[in-house]
Parts: sequence; C-alpha cells; structure tokens
Amino acid sequence: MIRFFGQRLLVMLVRLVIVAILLVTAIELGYGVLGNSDVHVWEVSFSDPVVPLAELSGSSTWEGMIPLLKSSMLIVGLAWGATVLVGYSWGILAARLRQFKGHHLFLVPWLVLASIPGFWWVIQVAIYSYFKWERPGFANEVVVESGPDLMQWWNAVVVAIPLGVLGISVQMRVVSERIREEAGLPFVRGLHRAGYSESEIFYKNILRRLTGELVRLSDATLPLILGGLIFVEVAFRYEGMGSFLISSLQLSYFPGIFVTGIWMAGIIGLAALIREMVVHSLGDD
Amino acid sequence: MFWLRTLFYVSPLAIAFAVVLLFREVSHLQLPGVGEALTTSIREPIGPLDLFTPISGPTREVRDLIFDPLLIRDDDLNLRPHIISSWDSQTVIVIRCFSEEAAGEAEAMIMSEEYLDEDMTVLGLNREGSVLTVALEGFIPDFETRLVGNFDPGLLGDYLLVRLRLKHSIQDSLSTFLNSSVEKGQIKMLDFEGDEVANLFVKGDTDLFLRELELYYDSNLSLAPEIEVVGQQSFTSSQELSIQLRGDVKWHDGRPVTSADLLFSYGELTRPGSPMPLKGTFWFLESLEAVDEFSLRGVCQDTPAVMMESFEALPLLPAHLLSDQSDEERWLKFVESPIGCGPYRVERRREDGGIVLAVFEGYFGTKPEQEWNVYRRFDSLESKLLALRSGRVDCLVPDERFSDWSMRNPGRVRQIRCLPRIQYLVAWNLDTEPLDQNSVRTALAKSVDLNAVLTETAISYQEPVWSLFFPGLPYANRALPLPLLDLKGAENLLDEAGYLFDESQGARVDEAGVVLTLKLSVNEADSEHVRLARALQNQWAAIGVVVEIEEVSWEVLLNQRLLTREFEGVLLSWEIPLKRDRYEAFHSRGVEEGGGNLFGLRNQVVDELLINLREENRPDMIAVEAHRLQDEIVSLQPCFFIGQSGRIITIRDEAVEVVRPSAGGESIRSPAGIGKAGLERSRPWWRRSGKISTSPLTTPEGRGE
Repeated sequence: MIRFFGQRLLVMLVRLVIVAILLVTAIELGYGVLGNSDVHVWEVSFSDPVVPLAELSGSSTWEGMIPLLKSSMLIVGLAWGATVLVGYSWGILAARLRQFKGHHLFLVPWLVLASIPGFWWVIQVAIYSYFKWERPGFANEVVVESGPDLMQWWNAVVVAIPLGVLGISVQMRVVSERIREEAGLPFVRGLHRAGYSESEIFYKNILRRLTGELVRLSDATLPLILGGLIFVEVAFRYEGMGSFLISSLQLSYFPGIFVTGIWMAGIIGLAALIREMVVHSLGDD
Repeated sequence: MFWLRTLFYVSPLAIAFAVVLLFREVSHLQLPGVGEALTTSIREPIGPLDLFTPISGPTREVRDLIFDPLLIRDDDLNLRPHIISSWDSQTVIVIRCFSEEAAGEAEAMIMSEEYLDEDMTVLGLNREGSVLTVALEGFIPDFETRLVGNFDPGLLGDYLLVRLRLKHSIQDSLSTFLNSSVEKGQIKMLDFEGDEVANLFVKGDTDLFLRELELYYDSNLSLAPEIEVVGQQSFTSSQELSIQLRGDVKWHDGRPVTSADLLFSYGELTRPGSPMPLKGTFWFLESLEAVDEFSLRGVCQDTPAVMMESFEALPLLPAHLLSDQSDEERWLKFVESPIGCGPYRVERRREDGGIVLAVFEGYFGTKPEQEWNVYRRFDSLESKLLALRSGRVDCLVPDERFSDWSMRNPGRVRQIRCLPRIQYLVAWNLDTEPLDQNSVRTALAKSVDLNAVLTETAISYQEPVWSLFFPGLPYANRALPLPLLDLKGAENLLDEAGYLFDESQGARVDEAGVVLTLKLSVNEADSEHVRLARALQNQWAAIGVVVEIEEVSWEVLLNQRLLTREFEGVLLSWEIPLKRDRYEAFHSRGVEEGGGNLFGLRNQVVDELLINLREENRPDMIAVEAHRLQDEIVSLQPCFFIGQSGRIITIRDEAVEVVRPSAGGESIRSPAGIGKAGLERSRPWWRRSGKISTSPLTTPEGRGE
C-alpha cells in the first residue's frame, strides 16, 4: 500500500512538473512571442508586490492570497460535494428505474439547468437581489454583526450552484449510463432467468461489480468545476482564485497565472491520488 | 437495507433544504435594517475616539457627537455656558486692621458702602479678629489699593510686608525657619499664595528679623529664595475664579459629571508628560480645587481675558473610569468605545469598521430628534447607488468612482463645505542660515504659485490661508496680507541677499559658490504633507533654490527635529484653534526647548501684541491687536503659510435637515448646512428629512443589515 502510494505520489509530482513547464511555455508563448511583451517569464520575481492581489484582498504580498484560496476552496468543496452526492445518488436511482419508460425524464431538469450558462444564473440573482433585497449582487458591505457569517456561506452557495448543477448533470449522466450499460450485459439476463429479483441483481451484482469503476468517475467533473470557477467568480465579482487568475491575465502578471494554474493542477492531482488510493484499497486496479 | 437506500436517494434533498434554509436566513438578514438612522457611508473605519490626538474626518465627527465641551460657542462664536453653567471672578482682599474694633468699624463702613467705589460690588465679607476679608466681584488690577485707600488710615494696621518667594514647598521651609528663629515674634501675620509665595506682616525691629531671614535663606539657595520688602502695607489680595458646573449632566453610563471630573481632567492634562500638555494654556491658574460636588475654585496668578477659552479647550474625562493611569488597557478600551456626556452615545462598533450611535436619553440639554446615527461601509459603487436610490444612505464620503458618477448625475447629491480647520505651513528655523534673513524667507513666500500647490478632492478642499484665527470670529475679519506671487520680486530679494543664479549649476549660489540648499523635513506617514513638500520643491526650484526633502517618521520629526529645533524647515499642519491666544506659538518665551515657538521667533512687538491679545477685553481693540499681529507675522515670515483645508461632506439631496431647538422650545428646521461655529455645533442637530420613503425597516438592533 505504501509503495503504491509513493508510486502514485511520484506520478502526481511528475504531472505537476509537466503542468508547470506547460504553463511557463504557454505564458511565454502567449505574452512573449505572440503578445510581443517586453517582459519574459525568466525575468519575473515572486518577491515583487503582487499587484492583482492589492485590488482583490487589499494586500500586495502573497499572504493576501490566503483569503482568496479559502474562498475558492469553499466553492470547490460545495460544488464538488454536491456533484458527488447528487450525481451518484440520483445517477444510481435513474439507473435503478431504467425499466420505466420515463426514467430519462429524471435527468432532464439537470440537463436543462446545466445547459443554461452561469451567466443567466448571475442575472437572476442580481435581479432578485436588486428588487427584493435592495442590494446589488453580493453586497459585500452587508455585515453579519453576530452569529455565524451566513452571508459568506450564501455568497459561496450562489457561486457554487451553477458549477454544482453543471457537475451534477455530467456526473448523473455518466454514472447512470455506465450502470445501464452494465445492466445490458448478458449475465444480467442470466440472473433474471435464474430467478433473482431485480433488486438483488441491481445492488448485489451490478453495483458491486461496478464499485471500482464508479469510484474512478468521482473526480471526473473536477476539471469542469475548476474551469467554470474562473468565469463564475469573475461574473459574480467573487474574490477568489478565479478572479485572481483573470486579474493576473489582464495585468500580465505571470506569477499569478502560474500560481493559479499550479493550484488547479494540484487540486486535480490530489483528487486523482485519493481516487487511485481508494480504488487500490478496493482491489480493483 | 431498504431504509439505507431510501436515505441515499433522498440525501440530495437535504442539499436543497439547506440552500432554501440559508436563503431564508439570508433574506431575513436583509430585513432588519438601520431603520430611520441617519446613515453615513464611510471609506475608512472609524478609528480610536481619542480626545488627545488631532483627528479629522468622520472619526472626528463621531468624537464630537459623543463628547461635549465644557463651554460652547454660539452662532456668533461667542463663548457660552454649557457644562460649566457659570463662572465668576472675584478679587479677595485681606486687610489687617489696627485692632479688632477698627476691623469692626471698617466692616460697617463697607457694608454701608461708604468705602466702596461705584464699580465695586461686594460678594462676601468676613471679619476674624483684626483681619477683614472682602471679596469683590471681578478682576480689576487696582481694586485693593482703591478700596484700602478709601479706609480711614487710623483703622489700618502698621505692618511691613515682606514677600518671600521660593521655588516650591514654602510652607515646610518657613515652618523650619520659624522653629529656629529668634526674631519670629515680630511676624504678626502670615499668609501664603500657593506653594511658592508667603506674605509676612512684621512689626517692631524689622531689621533684625530681615537679617535673620536672609541669613537663613542664604544657606538654602537650592530653593531659589527671593525676599522682597514690599513696604508699609496692611493688605494682600488674590484673584479667584469660581466655576459652577451644571448639576444635571451625566456620563453615558449614568454617573453624574462632577467637579471631580473637571479636576481630574485638569490635573491629567496639565501634569508633566501629559499626552495633551495644556500646562501652557492654563499658565494663569495657580491652583484649582473642588469646593463641592459641582463647584470649583481656582486661584489665579494672572487674570487674562482669555481665561475661559482655556477651559473651552480642556477635554472633560470621566474620572471614575480613567483615574487608574497605570491601566493602559483600560484607556485603549475607553477610546474604542468611549463614555462621554454628549448627545450621542456609542451603541456598538460594527464589524465593517463602522459605528452605531444612539441618542443619549440622559442628555442634559435638548435631545436631538435624530435617534440613531450609523456610520457604515458600502464596498461597491453599485451598493452605494442602490442605497442612495432607496434612501438607505444620507451622507457619503465619496471615492473617485462615486465622484465621477455624481458629476454625471447632477442633482442627486450635494456637497457641503465645512469650515477650514487645518492649516499647512512650513516652519522655518530662524536660527539657521540663510533662513535667519527675512529677505530669503520673503523671497521663498513670493515664489510659490499656490494655485499649482493646493488641490481639491471629493472629500476636502484646500485654499490659501485667510487668517491666523478661526474663520468667522469677529476679529478675524481681515485677511492675512500674505505675499503675492512675484517671481521677479523673489529673485531680486535673493540677489540682494547675495544668492545669485549660477547658470552652470542651475541654482543660486552664495559668494563662496555654495548652492543655496534648504532641507525640508516632512512626516513620511502623511501623504498630503509629502505631496505638498514635493510641490513646493518644484516651485522653489524655479527660482534656483534647491530643496532637499527629508522624509522621516513622526517620532523622529518630533523628538529629533522639532523639540531640539534641529531643522531648517519642517512641513507641518495645525488645527486652527477657536481661542485667540497665540502666545504659545509665537512668543519669545516659547523658543525654549519644549516650547511651542518652533520658529525661534524673537520679536518684541509680536510679544507685546500677544500679551495685549491675552489681556484685552474690548472687542474693537481685540480686532486692532489681532490685525496688527497678523501684519507683524506676515512681515516677519517665521513660517510659510501654504494653505488651509476643510472637509467636504456629500449628502443625498434633501435627505438631511437641521432641526434645532429655539429659545422658545420650538424646533427650527433648515436645510443641512454648516453654521459659523462649524460642523461640531451643527452636526448634532442633523436629522433625516424622510423625503424619500424607505423600506419598512426596524431599529439597528437586528442581527445584520
């Protein structure tokens, strides 16, 4: 187990190095070669004031990134958590109800919601905030004077919802389709003929056989969520890593682009490592 | 396992439930608002409400709402009773009569007004043996001589008055002397003036007594003894100030404001090492003591006309909260949420750096109609605009984006320009070369184009200095005749002073070829000071004067430059005081280390004018002296007055009105504005006009807004 962990950790680190090289190359290519920038990636220093952070968190040192990091991790946690919970539970439920003709309708609401860009969600929230609450968007000046900071949670939830909807629809579809695919195999018909109940076949045979594969799907939506995070954070003026990336891109602040890229790659790599460890522990390599 | 599966399948509903619950809670958070509070949008958090530190902006505004002054200025800027309800001055004359019978006869003559002149009003009369004590209303220098002059000479005692003055501890020292004195029998009467002066009334062989006294104190020179034989005199006099406090003033914690508080404040701020040293302001007061809970008596060594202005400048501190000076934490807690006795009390500090003020129910005066004042932050322009539209904000400290918006949308907000309160100046050290030359200083003043130096932002304006005195005071009705921009004239003055322009160096040089260079020290933490210093550097470079700007911390500037007077020029700002006494800033005696005369100005005419201003009571003569002082200061140029600045307050149009109580008890309404006495006097009476309806909001007691 430890050997396997060390091996996968090494692989993750190699991936991170590759990502870092690709990021540096992309930045240099984008700004230096195509953009004719006077500054090159090898000229930048991490000790200089972090200009994009000054506007976002009020601090121009790297310490100012910590609140942004926390804010974005909260979003990722909420969106991915909802994706895993709803995607698996209702994905499996959709597959379980496969014998009913209308079982596809189960996915429809999520697919519809997922097809609506986060942009529209932003507008809906803005309109509601404006007319019902008399406050624009996030109204960051609203301060909860006592008790838990519900505003912070609400703001995070508003950003996480479009990402979560997107993740859930994808997760539900892939989980449901994979199970239905498995349920179409000949052994299932054999079990039916042998007199097993539908419930026994589904839970004790199909799902048990697919456990490892379903676990492998757990981080499939993470890149999607992280990619969406960039746009949704900017659209909502939510101060997180996505806003930091866009701000860094606008200001041609290479270390900001690099750090954000590595952060995303790090999260994906870490999730992959955990997923691999779980799958390995299930003995389904 | 059916139940487990069911739980698994319905678990997503828990997320939906949590989101709905959160939505309900958050929407609930929105509803309890600031109610009918007069809301000010601030940019910076409200800082410590410190009475000792010069502060400005909204923090100053809040502080002035919490603390009331001892005396107040009316609309014409005349000093009026406030917490100090009345004050009397009296001259107390102690007359030693020839005998007890003579004293009785003199007492009868005084009571029948035989010995009194027309301008004498007796406040009190007391006879103990042959000593008669008369208290006359007011301070008039020759009261005692005139009164005693009216006496029948036969009634007066025949004494030689010997005045002994020591540095301190005169009672202990004299007691020691008397224990060993052989000639002490000749002292017939004795009284003390404070801790430094003793009046000895001697009779008999006075030469022997005087010799003994001199011999004794010749061996005690550490006390700096001064023995003065005043001559044949049978009376002494002193001036006393009686102060009466209102009996119904309360601190915000319900405790009454008493003479102990005033005594504590006086003691705390006049002690050596005080955070706000006012010893110089109370130079006239020898001692101050409480007579009862609401009365105080001060013994004066001088009786200037500006006495009560000194009390106006004295902040009143709650003795019951702050008497333990060793507790630094208590002080910090106090300035965070202070207990004052003003019309508003601190309800709470907001987490966004704002503050909520509630009207003080126990306020002794007429309570303002506006019950709540909220200072809060709006982070985005959008939220400000929305708050403006929905009537949830009344006053704003605008930022650049808001200013741009308001320029594009005229009529939505209006600006109120407060009186200028801060003056910016460059203090010259007149003891250094070349600044010891008036022509150089004048040349520097003539070469600055103030239009290029002074600026205006959305929150403050700057303008040339108008007067040495607070704007609106009756004697500050003539502008300071500052030198006008005259580059040619400035160059001529420098040429005459021997500083000629050297083309090769691009600067003026003296006869030895040394470039005319000035070092201008400035507080590095004050961005406005630094900006002004750089602007002046550019201006003076135009006439070939090289200015090196030295940016140092305030501690260095204060301790290593100003207090030691080791500087050439320092860019400073000071608050324009309401008082007319400018003795500390310009009098020669203030040149000593630690004195307020930073410039090193030593001028007899200025000194005399400053003394006259302290003593003068006649309004027309005050104006004359004030104008002469201004003229002298301008001609001497001990400092270069850059400009003065005032606050600009932005209010939602028609959102605020001033509701002031009239003498008849009715409320007088007027549009929001600043009176002659400044924002401090006007602000407590600001009230939401209610012209824009707001959502059905409640009080600020809610959990959030």
